[in-house]
Amino acid sequence: MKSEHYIQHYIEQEKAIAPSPDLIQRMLVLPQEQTKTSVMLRNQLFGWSIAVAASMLVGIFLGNKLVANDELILVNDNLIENFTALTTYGYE
Amino acid sequence: MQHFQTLSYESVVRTHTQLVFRTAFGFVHSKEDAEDITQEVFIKVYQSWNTFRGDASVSTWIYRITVNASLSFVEQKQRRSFIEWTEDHLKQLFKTQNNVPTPIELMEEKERELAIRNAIDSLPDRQRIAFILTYYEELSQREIAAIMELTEGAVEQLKQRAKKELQKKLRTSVGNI
Repeated sequence: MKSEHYIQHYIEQEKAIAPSPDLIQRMLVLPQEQTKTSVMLRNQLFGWSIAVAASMLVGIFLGNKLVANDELILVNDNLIENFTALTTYGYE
Repeated sequence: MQHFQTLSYESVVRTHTQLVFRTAFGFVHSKEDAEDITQEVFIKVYQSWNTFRGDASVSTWIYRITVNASLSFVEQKQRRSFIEWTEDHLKQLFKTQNNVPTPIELMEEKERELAIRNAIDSLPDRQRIAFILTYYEELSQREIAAIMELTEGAVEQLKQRAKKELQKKLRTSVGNI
């Protein structure tokens, strides 16, 4: 019966450990705070999703404009050429 | 048994915190972890308070949530790094106590506690649930059957198997039965 006695003793020891005195108070307050936080996070997430979607739409719109407009592409090409010339000049 | 509709969240917290903590403690053997689980359980209770249909008693419902939360906590903890695990066990082994006569006896006692804890932790989930609810919570077979959604006979079988398994595991480390 030795091991049974030790198991019983071990369980009694563990059962004697009390939770922190403020645990009940925390349990009363925390879920409400947690719910508030999750609602806040959900709202933030929603805000960010809208922002990302809007930037993607703007990006697509500008991209289409760029491809459609030859002048813009030319300006763009010139810019790249100028930039390449500037950077290579530095090395020469 | 009071019907859940007549209960307030506050009264449920006041009457059930201790039992949630004690049950969780049986699974994790640590005050901090048991308090974390208690917190998780009451967040769940709070969030599902309006959707709880009252098919089972509030206690049975809360016990179920506690058992599930404890099992997933243990599962997550087992995935932690080996270093953390070793650190915890060493801390437990060398934890000082005021009324222990000699360091050797202290070591022996701590080793025995570790062996018992490991033996309980290594029981299959259903046996462990039946064991903890029986010995930590001192629940009746009928109550355990309601929590585990099993027959009373099946609970009895699980308890017997858990007992045998523990005796087998502890025969070498703790002593003869």
